[in-house]
This record gives sequence, structure tokens and C-alpha cells, in this order.
Amino acid sequence: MTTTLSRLMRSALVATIWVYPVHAEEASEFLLFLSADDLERSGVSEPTIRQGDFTPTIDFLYTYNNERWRVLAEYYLTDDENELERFQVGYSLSPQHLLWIGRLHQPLSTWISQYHHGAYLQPSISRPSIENWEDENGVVPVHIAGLMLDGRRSVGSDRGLRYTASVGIAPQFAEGELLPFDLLDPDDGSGRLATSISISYFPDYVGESNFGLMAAYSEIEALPDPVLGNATKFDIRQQVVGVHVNLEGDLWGLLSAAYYVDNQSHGSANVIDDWFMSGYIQAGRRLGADWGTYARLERTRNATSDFLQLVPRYVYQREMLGVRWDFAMRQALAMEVSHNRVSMDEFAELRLQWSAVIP
Amino acid sequence: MKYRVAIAMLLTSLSAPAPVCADHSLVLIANAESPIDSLLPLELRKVYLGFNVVDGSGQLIRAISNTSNARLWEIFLQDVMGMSARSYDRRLLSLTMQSGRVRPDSFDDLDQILTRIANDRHAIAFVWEEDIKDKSDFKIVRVLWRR
Repeated sequence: MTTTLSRLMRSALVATIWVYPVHAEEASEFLLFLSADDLERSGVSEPTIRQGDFTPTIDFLYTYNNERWRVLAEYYLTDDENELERFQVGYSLSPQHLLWIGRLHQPLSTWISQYHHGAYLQPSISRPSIENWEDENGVVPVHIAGLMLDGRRSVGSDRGLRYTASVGIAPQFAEGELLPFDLLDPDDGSGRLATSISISYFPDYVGESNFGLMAAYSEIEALPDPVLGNATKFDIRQQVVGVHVNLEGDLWGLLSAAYYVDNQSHGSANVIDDWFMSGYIQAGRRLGADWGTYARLERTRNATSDFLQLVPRYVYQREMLGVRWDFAMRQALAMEVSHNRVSMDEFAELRLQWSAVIP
Repeated sequence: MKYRVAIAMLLTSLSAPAPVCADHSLVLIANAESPIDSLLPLELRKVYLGFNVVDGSGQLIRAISNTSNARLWEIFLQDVMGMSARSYDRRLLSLTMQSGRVRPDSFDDLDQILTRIANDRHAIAFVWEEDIKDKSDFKIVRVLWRR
């Protein structure tokens, strides 16, 4: 499956180059999402958890559209990471239906489907733990390589329904984290099946407010790991169901999601057969044109589940408060304080962030 | 004599009542030969947020933003899109980030806008009505705002 998909990805790359000059009605755009994050922790006793960090980030976003085709590429660069996060080529099956192929963010996560890597667009500096990227103590696959159908239809005169479904290569589990399939180095890894679906209802077709359901099934291949104690590969079959709500008003905003995650290992001496639930509610209030405050509460049920113990720095409980100042067009400063619990420790965090978009 | 006439004209103009605000309309325009004959408010918002909307010939409608006049831009945002400039900007960025939609072209030069419309049967733009008066290259698709 991996080899076939690799070939498809390469074909998509070639197709992109080929279609580019053909159509007259075409447009492209290049955006830079910049941010600088400072993180300070206090009360940390576990030596593997960093006391602080400073991270400058550039997220390059390129898009190309013509009558039928669409290309989206997102490259993420920090002082300790550089990765092709998304590279997807879309074909418009109809004005409301787009079929994507490439490296994608699967639609399971409502937060990621909305903000992706754009720090400036996020309503807070940090993201809820259950919406974390794989390499930031994420416990649910986000990046897959495969296909995604993205569709919308009108409901009544001005409401809308969005449905998104994906199928592709799931991340593997190695060295204590999920490792997504690397499009730039397809021969270096493999992976099993990942499928995901999301359905959202929009009371205003073009508005931001929506609520809906999502579900996913992934077969995560765990590689031999001395820490885990497995000498051979085994599979973790993960099933996820969730609900989400996003309400955007003139003054208030609310973003919330809850996930039920069931994990079962196959072919392993160390049996994992359990579940956990994780959810969050984040509320924000605007204070005039440029200022806003926000707060988030995160909770996890059955945080002692064997699967979560594989990612011991997963924050299973958090209370957070923040403030944001949009001091110029496309530039913002934000500050957050939070209290966090992980399985081995608990600590406070202070985060500061400058974020911007160019041009 | 010449001075008397000039003074009389000056006094007349000064004593005349202040001009009443003339009719001022913001209109949505398209190429005179465009298959775009009408556009509902929701479809208009869709187009200006980068969603796909097709015209009578099945082609995608292309939106052109007119930023040549601050008052015109403000009316468009408030009365048509129903959002502030910052909210509109964030929403466009967000939709580009989410699904790779390229944002509508934006021009601060009216001549450029009219040239684009004159050369593209599937494009729309919003302008003051008087800017296209007596120009046969364009048609009014919808009156967006009138004072």
C-alpha cells in the first residue's frame, strides 16, 4: 500500500507541474505565517520536561488554483524542525466537491482542520492536548498520506453542510511518538491504514459557527522499542469518535470538542486494550477592536490508560487563561498562563507569542 | 461690468443652500456580455470569501475587490459582508489556510478594475454607480447600497 501511494504522490507532483501552465484562468498565492514563542515552566520536577524554550517559526503556505485544479503546499520551519507538513493536489469534481491527494491533515481534528499551522489564526497560543501534532505529544494521527474528499452543500436558503472523508497511510509509533509518513522520503517509512470522516453543520453557509461529528479508524504500527519492551512490531488499532462545537459571535467565541478514543494492540506481548476520553472547552471574549481574552479547560477521563502511558508527557488536565492584542493589521501579541498535569508531573506554564502574516 | 458679474456669481453661489446629498449608489458590475445576470446576497458573500459559485455558463465567478476608496470599501464590508476589515481579512486567510482558496484579487486603482471586468466575462466588482455611467462595457448586476 505504501509503495502504491508513494507512486501516486509522485504522479501528483508531476501532474501539478504539468497542469500549471495549461489554463489561462489561474491564480496563486504565497503567504508566510511567522511566530516567535517563549515558554517558561515552573514547578517541573521531571528532568525530561523542558524548563523553557524559545521557538521562532516560519510557516510557508503556497496555493495555486485554476478552474479545475488546486494545489496547496505548507512547509514548516523552526530552529529544530523543518517538515513538509502538507502537499496536496486537488481536483474539483464539482464546484462544491474537491478530491485531494497528497500529504494531508485528516479531518478528525476540528482544531487542526480550522487553523492548521497558522499561529496567527489560532485563538490561543497553545492548542488542546488532544489536538496536538504527532511530534508534540500527540496521541491521535493527524498527518496522513492519501486521499481526501471535501464537500459542501446548501441546506435550505442559507445554511450549509460540510463533509470530509479521508483514507491513507497512518503514522507509525516509534521512540515515544507518532511518526507520520514523510512525503519527501517515502522509502524511509511505511504505515498502515488511516481513515477519518467529519460532518459539520453551518447555520450560516459562509459563517464560522458550526457543530458536528467526527470519527476515525487507524492502524498504528508500533516499531520495536526498548523503552516499550517490544522486540518486534505490533499494531495498535485506534478508533475515535467525537463531537465539536464552534460558535463565533460579535463579542464571544466558543470552541469545544470531545473525543472517545479506543485502543487495542494486536500481535504484542504487552496487551493494550483500553480507552480514554478527552475534551476541552475554550471561550473567548473580545474587548474592543484590538484586545481579547480567552480561557480553556481540558480534561481527560481514564488518563491512566495504557495507551496514554506510551506518551507520558501528554497533558491530561489543563486550566489556561490568556490575553491577545492585535496591535497592527496581521500582527498580534499574546500571553497565556496555565496549570498542567502530565502522568509523571504537574507544572505551571507562561507563554508569550508574537505572530504575524506576510504579506 | 466684468467684476460686477463675478461678484454677483460669487454671492449667488455663497447664498445658495448647501447641496443636498445626491443619490449615491454602490453597485455590483459585470462585463456587459457576462452570463452573470443576478447574484443573491449569499452567493455574493460566497464569491467574496473564495467559495466556488458558477455563472449561467457553468464557469466559476471571479471576485475583484475595489479598495480605491475608503468609504466604498467600508460600505462593502459592513453592508455586504457584514464584518469588519480585520474579520474579513482573517476569514480569507483562514479559508486559504484551510483549503487552498486563493483570495479575491484586490485593486486600489479603478481603471485597473474596469479593465479587468471589460476583459473577463466571468468577473464581478463593486464600484460607485457614477463610475460606470455612460460606459457600455459594463452592466449592473445588483445595487448593493444606496443613499
